[in-house]
Amino acid sequence: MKTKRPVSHARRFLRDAVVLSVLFLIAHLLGLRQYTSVLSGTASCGSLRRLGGVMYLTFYFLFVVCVPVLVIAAGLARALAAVTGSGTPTASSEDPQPDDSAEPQQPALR
Amino acid sequence: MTGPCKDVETADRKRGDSESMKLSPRLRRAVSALGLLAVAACIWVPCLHLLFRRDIGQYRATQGLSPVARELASTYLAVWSDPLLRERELATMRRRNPEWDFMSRTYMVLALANMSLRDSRYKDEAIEIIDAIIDDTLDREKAEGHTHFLLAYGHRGSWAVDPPRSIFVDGEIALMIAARRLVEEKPTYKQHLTERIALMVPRMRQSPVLCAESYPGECWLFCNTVALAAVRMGDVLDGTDHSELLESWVRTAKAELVDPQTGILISAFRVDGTPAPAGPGPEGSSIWMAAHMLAVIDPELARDQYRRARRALGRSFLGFGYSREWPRGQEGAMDIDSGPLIPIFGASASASGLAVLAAAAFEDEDYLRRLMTSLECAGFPTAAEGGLRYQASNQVGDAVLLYAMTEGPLWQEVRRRARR
Repeated sequence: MKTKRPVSHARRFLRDAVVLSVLFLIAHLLGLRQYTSVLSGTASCGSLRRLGGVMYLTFYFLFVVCVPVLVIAAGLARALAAVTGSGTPTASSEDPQPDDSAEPQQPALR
Repeated sequence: MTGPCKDVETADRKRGDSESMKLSPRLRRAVSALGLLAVAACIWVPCLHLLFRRDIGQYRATQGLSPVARELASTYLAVWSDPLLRERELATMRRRNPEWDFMSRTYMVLALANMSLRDSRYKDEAIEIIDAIIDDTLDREKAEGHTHFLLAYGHRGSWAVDPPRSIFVDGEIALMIAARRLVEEKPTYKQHLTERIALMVPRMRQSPVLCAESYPGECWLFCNTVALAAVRMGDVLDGTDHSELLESWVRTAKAELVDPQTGILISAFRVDGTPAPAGPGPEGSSIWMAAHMLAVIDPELARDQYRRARRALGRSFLGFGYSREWPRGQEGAMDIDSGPLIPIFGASASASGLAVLAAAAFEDEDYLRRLMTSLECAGFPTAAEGGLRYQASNQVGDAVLLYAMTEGPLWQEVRRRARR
């Protein structure tokens, strides 16, 4: 029988923030920044490069706008859990790692 | 039904209602997550601009060159000093749009002229590059024909005024030559400027609104104000007097070329002054530059146009500045001048770039700071070998930005010589 541990909001938000940051980092290291000239209509070097530019733009704006929002939301979730002293267990996951949030852990048995 | 039974039934119904109103755990979790994200967004989004906001002194200096202007200049001095590199960059521009090739030359010359007037250490290098640009432009025009720098539709169609000539080409070439001569006289260019002005002025006079065609059947405000500024510069350089033409133009423009809703000069019109379909109303990609050019023709009209454009087109959202291409309610179709527009906001990259120039020229620091904040966020500045370029921009965009960061001394020189 497999146990499903609840993953806190904080943990989930941070995980998403890390994923988005890694995606942006990869796009940046691949040098896709130079293809952002799609914005001025200058990128004429084929659809692949144009796609690279669009991908970079997407990951960049996700990194700049969404990552900080996710990190702040994670902080808020932690703070809320600490204040109320009760967790807000969130979506189930098969992640067997223990939750490091301040929320009490109540493993639910299936 | 007896009393106790009725009570039980009511209690059951209430319990049932409360059960049905209870959110499922999954939905409750989603709602609480969304709530947290919404609160976090309310905290972060209004602060986002602070991440990109830099001191205005980084872009504009009262004397000498600002740090960002120096970095940007370093990149393009290297490009323009190297014939191979220059040809490669211009060829890229030309493939996309021959106007970009041409305009990148004009803005670069204007920027270099201002740089050498701001800081004499740049003068020798700047003059060398300016001469190379002007000579190359004149050579290309001679070899490929007068319409070489025009879009495809400039090569066909019927021009209202014969022989076919574009004031876009004549005006910008005259402006480049005049700027060069204001930095330092070069006798061989004197004849070139006189000839260009002699070509432009009679063509302008043939139109009831004193404007010549840039393209067959299309007079553009942008090009005609550039031409007028060049005529003005020619007057202060050579002692000629076109004040009557300039005054008549201002009078006519106020009477015939103003959009009734906004009071802004319209962008494109026919030789008789009727609005042309290509730009029948005010446009950000025209008016910011036109207002800047008008500053040496009629400063009062220039400032009035800037104020009106600022009101109708200048926008700011959460600390980020931008320019609309068209006033609200007068939207047109996206074209090569407007570039891609951001939906809902109607923001145009080319209009916003030229708004940087106008905000700098009219010393609108607040708007300039907001525009530069947007540039830092979405222009993708990239440092390389001591230089800087904006990846989202192109050579003409960067040349406009460099000109905006250095603008001032050239127009001051025109005014100073006009007073003398």
